[in-house]
Amino acid sequence: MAVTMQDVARRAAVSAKTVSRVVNDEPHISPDKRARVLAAIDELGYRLNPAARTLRTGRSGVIGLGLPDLREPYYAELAHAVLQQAGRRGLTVLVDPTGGDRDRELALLRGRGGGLDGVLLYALGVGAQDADAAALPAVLLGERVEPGAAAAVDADPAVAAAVAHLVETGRRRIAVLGADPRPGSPGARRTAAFRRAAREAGLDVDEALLVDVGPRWGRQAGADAAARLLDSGLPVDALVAHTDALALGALRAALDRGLRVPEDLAVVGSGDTEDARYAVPSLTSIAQGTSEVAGTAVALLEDRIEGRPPRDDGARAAAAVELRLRESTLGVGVA
Amino acid sequence: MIADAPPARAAADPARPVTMADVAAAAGVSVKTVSNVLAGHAHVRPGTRDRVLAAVDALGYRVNPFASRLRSGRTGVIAFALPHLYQPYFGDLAERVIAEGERRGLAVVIEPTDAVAAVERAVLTGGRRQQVDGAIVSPAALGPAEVERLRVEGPVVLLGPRLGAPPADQAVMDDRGAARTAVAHLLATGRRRIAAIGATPRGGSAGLREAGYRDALAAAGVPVDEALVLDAPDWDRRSSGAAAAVRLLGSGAPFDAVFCFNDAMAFGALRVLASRGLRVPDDVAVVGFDDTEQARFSTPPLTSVDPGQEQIARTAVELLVERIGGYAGEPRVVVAEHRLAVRESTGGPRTPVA
Repeated sequence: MAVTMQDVARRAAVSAKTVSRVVNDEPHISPDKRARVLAAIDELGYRLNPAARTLRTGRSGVIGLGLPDLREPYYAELAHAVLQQAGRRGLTVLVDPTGGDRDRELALLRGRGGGLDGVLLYALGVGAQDADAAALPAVLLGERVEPGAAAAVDADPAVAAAVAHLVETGRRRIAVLGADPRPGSPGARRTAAFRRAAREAGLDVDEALLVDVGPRWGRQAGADAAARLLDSGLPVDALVAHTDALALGALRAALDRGLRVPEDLAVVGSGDTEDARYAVPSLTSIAQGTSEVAGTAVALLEDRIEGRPPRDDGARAAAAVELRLRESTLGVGVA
Repeated sequence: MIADAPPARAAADPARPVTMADVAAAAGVSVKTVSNVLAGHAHVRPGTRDRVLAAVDALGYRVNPFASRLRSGRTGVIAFALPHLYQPYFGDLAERVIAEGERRGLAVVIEPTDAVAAVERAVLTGGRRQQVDGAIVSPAALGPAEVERLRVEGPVVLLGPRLGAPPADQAVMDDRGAARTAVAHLLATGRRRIAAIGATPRGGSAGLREAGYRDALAAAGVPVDEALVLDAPDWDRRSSGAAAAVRLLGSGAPFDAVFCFNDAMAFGALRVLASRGLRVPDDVAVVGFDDTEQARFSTPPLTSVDPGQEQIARTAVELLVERIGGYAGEPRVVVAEHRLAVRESTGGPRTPVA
C-alpha cells in the first residue's frame, strides 16, 4: 500500500492541505511545519513518490506529450520521434491522449496529476487565449504558430508544391479534405495556403470542393468525406488531404467506386508516414520533418525546464517540409 | 456490448449532473453496489457489474475524479506501457484502453518503452511508475521466462503471450488458436502452399502463432515446407514484412497464400506483391493478425484475425481496477475470444468503407 499524503499529515500532525502546500512549494508555511512535513515524508518513505522526489531534486525527469489521436499514423510517428529525442536527454515521456479536446489539453498544460517537468502539446483545442494556462514549462507543436514557444511546421510551401504538381499533371478540379472553419486551426491554415497556391496556378477555387471532415482526421472520416464528394456528381480529378489517414480513407472510397488512382483521381496526403509509403498505390505525401519537429520541441522544452532564456525565433524555425511524389499522383512504374 | 442494457433515462433536469443514485436506480441496485463496482471491488457478481456499467454508459455517469481522489489518496490515473505507438495494433489498443478507463473515471497515460528491456523491467517492478495507481504492461523485449521471474510491484496487469506462471493478472489473446483459425481459413478456401511471415527464435507470441500455423497444416494433412516459414525480426515495421516477401519471392518456392503474424507485416507483404504484379487474392491470398483499423482500408482490404482487442482492453482495465481496489488474490488469467474478419485479400465479399 502506497504511503498517502494523509499518512504524512498524521505523522507530521498537520492537515493534508499543509502537506500538499509543502510538496507544491507554496509560500507562507512556517519553517517548523515545513521541517515536520519533510521529516515525515522521509520517515514514511513518501519520497518514492515522484512529487517528493521533485521536492528534493527539483525534477522528475518525466515530460508529458499531448497528442490528439494515437490511431493516426502521423501522431504515432511523432510520438516515436519525441521519445527518441527525449531518451537521448535522459527524459521519460508519458503520452497523454487528448482527443483534441480543449479541456483535456488544458488539464495537461496545468500539469495533470503532477510529477511532470514539462509538457509538449500538439494542440487542436487550445488557442492563443489559453497561452497563459500553462502551469509548468510547455511547448506547443504543430502548425499553429502561437505566442510562446512553439515548434511549428510551416506546410505552406509544400501545399503550394502539391498544387503545382497536380496542375502540372493536368488536374483542374482539386478538392481539399480537412478544410476547417475555425480560424487559426491547422485546417484553416492549410486551406488558406491551398487557395493562394490555386490562385497562383490560375485555378478557380470551387468552395464546394473544400470539405470540412470534422475534428478527427482519421481514415473513416476521409472515406466518408470522399464518398460524399464523389457521389455528389461534382467533377473532381484530384484530392489534397491534410493527413495521410484522411488520404488513405479517401483512396479506399475511390477504389471502392471503381475509380482508378491516379488516372481518374490523384490523391495527396500529408505526414509521409509508413502507411503512405506502403499503400497501394503508394501515396504522394507532404513530409513534415517529423524528427526535426520533435528535436526542436524537446530542445525548447529543455531550455524552459532548465530556466534558460528562450532562444530567438531561429530555434522555432519551420521544419523542412517537402512533397514526396509517389504512385497516387504519378502512376505506377514512375516513382 | 452488454445485451440487456437498461433504457437510458434522462435526468429530470438536464442541467443536473447524473449521480450515483441515478445509476443505482437505473440498474436496480443499491448505491453501495454502484460504488463497489466503480471502485473495482471484486466481490460483485458479474451480472450485477454488467448492469451497473450498462447504466453508467446509458446515463453518461462520470465518476467525480476530484472527489474520489480526495477520498482515496489515489491519482485516478493508470499507465499503459507498450512497445511502440507506430505499430498499428498498439495505437488501436491504446485508444480502446483509454475509452475503457474513461468509463470508470480513470485517465490513461501511455508509456512507450521502445521495447527496451530495462525500461520494461523498471515499469513492472515499480521503479518507473509516475503518479499512477497501477499499470497495464505489454512486454516486448522481455521474454516470457524473464517476465515470470520478475517481482512485480503494485497493481499490474500483463498483456502479451500467455504465461505458465504469471507474476500478475493477465489479459491475453489465444495466439495459437487465433493463428490456427487464420490458416484453417486459407486451407478451407483451397490454398495449400501457405507461407508464414513473422517467425522469430525468441518464442513468445511469435512461437505461439507459428505453432498455430503448424497445427492447422497438420490437421489438414498438409506437410510444412520449411522454405515457406520466414523470419521477420522486427514485427513493428511494414518493411519487415516487405523484406520477408522479397526473400520468399526470391527463393523460387511456389506459394499461393501468406499468413503474416501481424497486420503491419501483412501491409508490407501486400505492397511487395503489388509491385511484382501479383494479384491478391487471385494469385496469392493474404491474411493478417490483429484486425487493425487499416485492415479495412488497405488494397485490397485485408482479411485478419481479431484476437479480441476490445475484450482485452476491457478485461485489462477491469482486472487492474480490482487490484487497485485492494483485491489480493492469486494472479488471474483471462483469455479473449478471437474472430476472423474475412475481407477481399482472401476472396471475401466487397464491403465498401463508406
